[in-house]
Parts: sequence; structure tokens; C-alpha cells
Amino acid sequence: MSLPVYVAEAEGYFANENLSVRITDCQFGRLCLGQLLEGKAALCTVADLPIVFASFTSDRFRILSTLTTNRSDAKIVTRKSGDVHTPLDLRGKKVGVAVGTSAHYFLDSVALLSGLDPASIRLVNLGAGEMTSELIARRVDALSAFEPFAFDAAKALGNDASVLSTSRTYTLHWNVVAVRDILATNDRELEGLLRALDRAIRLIHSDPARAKAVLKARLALDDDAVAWVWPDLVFELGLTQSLIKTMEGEARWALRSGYAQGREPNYLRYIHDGPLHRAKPGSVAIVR
Amino acid sequence: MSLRNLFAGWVILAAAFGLIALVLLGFTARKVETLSVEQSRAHQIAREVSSLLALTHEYILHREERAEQQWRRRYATLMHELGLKGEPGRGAQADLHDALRALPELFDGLIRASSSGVQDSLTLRRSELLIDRLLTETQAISESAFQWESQATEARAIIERRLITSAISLPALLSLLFASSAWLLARRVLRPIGAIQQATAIAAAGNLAVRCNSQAQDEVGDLARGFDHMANELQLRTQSIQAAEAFLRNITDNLPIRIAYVDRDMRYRFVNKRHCERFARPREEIVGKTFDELHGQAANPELISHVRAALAGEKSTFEFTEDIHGRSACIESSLIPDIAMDGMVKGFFSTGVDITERRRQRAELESALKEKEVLLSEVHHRVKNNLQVISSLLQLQSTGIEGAEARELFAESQNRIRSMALIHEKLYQSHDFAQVDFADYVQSLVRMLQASQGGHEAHPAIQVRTAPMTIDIDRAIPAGLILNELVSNCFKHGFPNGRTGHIDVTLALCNGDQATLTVKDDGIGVAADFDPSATDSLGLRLVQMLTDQIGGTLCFEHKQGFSCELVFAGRQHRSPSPV
Repeated sequence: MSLPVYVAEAEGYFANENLSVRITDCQFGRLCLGQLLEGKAALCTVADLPIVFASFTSDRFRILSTLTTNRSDAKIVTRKSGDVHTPLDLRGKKVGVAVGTSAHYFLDSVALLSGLDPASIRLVNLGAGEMTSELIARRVDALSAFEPFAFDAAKALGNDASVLSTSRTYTLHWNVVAVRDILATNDRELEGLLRALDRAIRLIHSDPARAKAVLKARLALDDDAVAWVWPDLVFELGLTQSLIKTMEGEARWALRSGYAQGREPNYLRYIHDGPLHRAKPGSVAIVR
Repeated sequence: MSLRNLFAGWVILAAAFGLIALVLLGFTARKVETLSVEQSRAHQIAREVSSLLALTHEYILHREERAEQQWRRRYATLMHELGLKGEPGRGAQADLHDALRALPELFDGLIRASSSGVQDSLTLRRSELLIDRLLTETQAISESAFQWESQATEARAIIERRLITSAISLPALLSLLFASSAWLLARRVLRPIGAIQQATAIAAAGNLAVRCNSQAQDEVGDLARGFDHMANELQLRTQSIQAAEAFLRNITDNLPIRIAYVDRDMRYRFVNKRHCERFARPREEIVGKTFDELHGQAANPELISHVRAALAGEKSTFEFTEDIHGRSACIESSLIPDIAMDGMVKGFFSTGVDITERRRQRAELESALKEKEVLLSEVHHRVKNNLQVISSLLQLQSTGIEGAEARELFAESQNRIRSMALIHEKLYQSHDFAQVDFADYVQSLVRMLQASQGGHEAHPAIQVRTAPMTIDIDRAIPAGLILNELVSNCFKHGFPNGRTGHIDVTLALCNGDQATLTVKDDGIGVAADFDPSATDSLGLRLVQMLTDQIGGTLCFEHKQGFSCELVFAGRQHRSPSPV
């Protein structure tokens, strides 16, 4: 999801914008956002749901732009030889999921849209490293996981792997977030940063092979993993109304599920569109 | 590289460039048209999606059947638009197509949830999620549609900018191409031709040493080298002609005559040194001037008339007098017309010779000749008078001589002297002191001999026939003496005792220059054994001697009377030619 950042670094686009960027890798976006809120980073890339959770407790960050969208980042992986073949088959089944993540939100959405009460699914809270082994050991009937854990599970199951059809249930927005403190004084640098990322996205579109090579080198992925995720990735800088709607839906889900307390935030406050306006005119579709 | 190949390459390049430009322009124009259609279509789709979003909101708010119908109609229209004209699998359109296909399921789910009448928590959550998803997806579709339109607009703007750039740059490039070709034309053609033109003008002005010295290896270079070669040949030939002209001028300048050539406009085209002296001007001030300019109104009218005659094609030679440097000179001039092949007179050649000295010498010669003629006439006159004195003396002496034979000898001598005196008389009377009119002499001598026979009672009739003939004095005197002897013999021996008869004297010219003098009578003749070479007659011996002296031959015949024929080298009579 953060491929444009890696490409911009590899191609020297940040340097071209007179920016000195140091990248720190995190296992999840939620952790990256946490470092940002702890003051360990000025910027991070993170999905919409961690932003929603953070928005209930902090006002110290702003979304600069969506970097990548993915309509199929979260997947429900089952065994063909198992009993789960449609979302309705999840009723009463044990489903492994990292509770409170986008995969959990995705699983609830799939259940509701299929006419299934999410409460009828027996959730098994799993860490990132447990999912594949639990599914192979048949201690869970299915997994709701985002990438690359869904791929790892499917790869481990081999021909027995099955991914339920849940297209367009949830569109993940992968965003560039900045700590609010730097906005007033570093708008020019942020504009340069977004310009470098946009340039990297154009390179990804024009030379996918080169971008994939950067991706494989950076995340130590093999060709199969890249081929698995690549078709669902949409790299495009922008701020769209669907981001707001998605976050609002996620906020309601979080409140209802008890993962967050308080009032639903006004997410317009968390949008800082000035740099993107200047870096890529016409890409901001949110009216503030 | 030859100009032909160079310009052919240039034309091909320009044609190829023009063709490529046309193809590019055509392609770009077509692309603009395609993008314009796509932009219009994207705009239409975006508008439809916006309407769909509005209808979605309407339905969510009021759950009205009308909103549901319109939503479905609008969706069908959208799918129809995308299904008929869309190109699934291509960027924003493909996303749009996929997203739209997911909408009915969400919308139908919402309708089912709304119409179920169940208001439990799960149903509400489900409805809420469906609404969120429906709005999010429709919003996303709307954004995709506007993105598509934006992409189409941007693509059209790019291609239009390219078209404008092409429209500006292609004429500029064509102008550059034409400017380059003009520069090439000027550098490779016009400038070298200008140099050749300049060299031609210099050569035309007379400086044949001018050269182009072109190093260009093309047609114009060949032309320049051709010019140089031609100029070189022309220079050599001009030098040769100038040398020949100088040689001829040297000849004509050193001839003691005037030479000139005047064209039909009466303009002097050539004059030699002597002719220049006539006008006391250098040659350069004469050649090119007209007759009137040089002679003025004072030109000799006779000279003018001869000039006009020469220009009319008549050749003439005449003399005139003119004043040269204060000296009166007599000029003999010849005007010879210069007639072209077509008969037209192009001009005339004029020669003039100063004959003043020659005329003076001729006058002196004529005067001296006249003086000599007078003297010679006087000499002949005196010789004739002296011979007559001698004859008269013999006459006087003969009167005192006894005996007829002696007196006859004196008379014969007298006749011989008178025949010689008659020659001198004829000479001084004729004014030709070298030739004697021998026919006239023969007539006179015969009459004189006939007159000398006045003492005889009877006379034979004498008939004299002469052809015109002149002979020189060296042969005239011996021939006259021979005639005297032969006619005297006829009178003396042919007609004795009062016998009458005829004596014929004939002078004829045979074979062009052989004179035949025949004396014939019908008297008594001579004895049959008469031998003229053996006779002791003084007269006949004298005839023999004189015949040998003049290289003649004698022929006697005496069958009927006496006949003697003398043949000697004579000369036909000619009319005297003027001196």
C-alpha cells in the first residue's frame, strides 16, 4: 500500500524536492500512526480505520491525501474442504480475526450485507503470526485477514484455499497522515512530498515492472505475493467523499461495537487539503 | 554533391516532411475528435451518476416508490450508455462499469430491509450499512465518472496543446526548411552565378584576364570553370587577333598610301597612319567619327559624289587636290565598295596616293620627250635634206657627164639616195621615230620612181597594193632600197622601145608577221637562163646583199614578164597608242 513512498525514495524524488525523508517500517499502519501520535514521526501512512479509532482520542494529526485504495484488501479465507463456502455459512463458525482492525470491520460488514448477524459468528482473536497456523490446524473455520496475512494463509493451504466472494463490501483507503504541529510551518515541504509521491505513482502506472521490483526488494515479497495483491491496488493521490463516508461508517461501527467512546467526530476537521490542492490540482473532491 | 541531387534531396525531404506533418496533423485532429466525443460522453455519464446519487439520497430519506423507479430507470440508462458505448477493461470506464454492477444488489438489499417492516437492531444496522455502502459506492462512482471526464478533458487538452504546438511549429519548421533552401540556393547558386555575372561584365568591358576560380564541384562550378576556359581561349584569341591587327596596322601604317574603311553610315571604321596624317588627328579621334564630323561642310563636292557612288556599289578612281599642312597635294583616290553576300553595300574601302611628285616627274618626262622628238625630227629632217643635197649634187654632176650609161648610173644612185631620204622624211613627218609606215612609204616611193621616169615616152601603168604595216628603220631602209632596185629594173628593162604594160607592186602580211613585198611586171622578162645570183648587175647584187642584211628571202620568176618576191620579218600596222 505504501509502494509510492518506496518508489519515491528509490528514484530520488524526495531529494528532487529538497526533502530529506527517513522511512521507518512498521508491521501495521496502526503502529505507524501510534508512533506519529507519540511524536516519533512527522508523517505516516495508515488505513482509514486506525485513523477513526485515533480520532476519538486525539486531534494531533491530519489526513493529507489518500495514497492507495483497495477494494479487496481484507479477505475471508477458508478451506475448500471445510464447511464455509458463502458468507451465510459463517453462522456459528469460528473465524479467526484481529479484533478491532479493518479485517474485523470487514467481517461484520460482510455478515450484515449477507443478512447474517455478526454476533452469530464465533470470533477468535488472533495475532498476525497465528492466523495461518490456526487455519491449517483447523482450530478456526475461516480467517478474516488483510494482506499480506490473507495471502500467507491461502498460500499455506495451497489448492485447499478458498476466498469468499465479497467484492466491494469494503474499500480500504491508505492515507498519508501528518502530525498537526508541522502543518503551519511545513506546508511547502508537504506539497513537495505529495508532488514526489504523485510522480512515483505516475512511474508505477507507466513502468509497473520497475515498481514491482522496488516492492519485492523493500518488503521481501516473492513474485506470487506481488501477483496476488497487485490487481486490487489502485494508486492515486486524492481526497474523496468516499473516504469521509467510509470513516463515518467505521466510526459508527466502532461506537456501536464498543471499541470507541464519545461522539462521532466530524472528519472534515481531520482533512488538510492545502498541500494536495497545490501539488495536484483537481484531486480534492471534498468540500470543506 | 551536384545541385541536381542536392535539390532533389531537398525536395524529397520537404515532401516527406510535409507528408509526415499532414499525417501527424490528421492523426492529432482525429484524436482530438475522439477525445472530444469521449469527454462529452464522460460528462454525460457523470451527470447521470450525479442524478443517480441524488435519487439515492431521495429514496433513503422518503422511501418513495417514485424515487425507486427513477433510480432504476437512471441506472438502466447508465448501464445502457456504458454497455453500448463503453469499452470495459479501460481505466476509469472499467472501474465505473464494475462499480455500477454492484449497486443494484445494495439497492435491492436496502429496499428489502425497508419493506420488511422489521425494526430490530440487526435490521437497522444492516440498513445503515447498506445505506453507507450505497452512498459510498455511488459517491465513488460519481467521483470515478468525474475522474474519467477529468482524464478525458486533460487528454483532450494535451492533444489540443500538441495540435496547437504542431500548428505553430510545423509552419515554423517549414519556414525554416524554406529559409534553409533559400540560404542554400543563395550560397550554392545565386552567389556563384553573381560572381560569374560580375566576371562576365568585367570581361564584356574588355578585361579578359578576369577568372571565377570556382572550387565548387557542382553544375554552377562547372559553369564557372567553363567561363574561365572560355575567357582564357578568348584572351588568347584576342591577343592573337590584336597581334595580327597590329601586324596589319604596321603594314598599312608603313605603306605610302592612305587606307581607310567607311561603313554605310559613313562612319570611319579603320584608318592607317597616312590617313591620320590627313586629318592631323590620332587614330582614336578618327575611328567612330562620321564623314561629316571629320570633313565638315568643307568637304570636296566631287569627293562626296564619289563617296555616294561607292555606297551605291560603284567602284571609282579619281584625283583631287587638297591642302595638306599648307602644301597643295594631288591625291589619286580609289573607292571600292564592300558588298555583302546579299548584295547590300556594307561600306567601302578607300585608298589614297599622293601623286604630286609623280605628276611632276611625268610632266618633266613628257617635256624631255617632246624636246627629244623635236630634236630627232630635226635630225631626220636634216638627214633627208642632206641626202637630197647629195642627190642634187649627183644631178648637177650628171649634167656634165658624157654618155648616157654614165648619166644613168648617176640617176640610179640619185634614186637610191632619194629612197633613203624618203624614209627619213616619213619618219619626221610621222612623229614616230622608231617605226616607219611602210605601206605609205611603198606608195610614196613608187610614185617618186614613176615621176623620175618622166623622160620616157611611154609609161607602163603601175598598180600599188599595200596592206597596213610598220617596220623599224633598220629594215625599212634596206627594204626601201630593194623596192627601189626592183621597180627601177622594171622601168629600165621590162618595157624597152616604148612597150607598154603593167607593173604591180604588192605589200602583204602573211602568217602574222611575215611581210611579202612583190614586184611584178608583164614586160619582156629575162632570159630563160637568167640566174640572179650569177648576174653582174649592181642593182641585183645590191638586192641580194640587202635581202641578206634584213634576213629575208628572194624568189624570182620570169615565165611571163618579171616577178620578184621578197619575204622578210615585218610587223602589222598598229594605231599609235597615246603616251
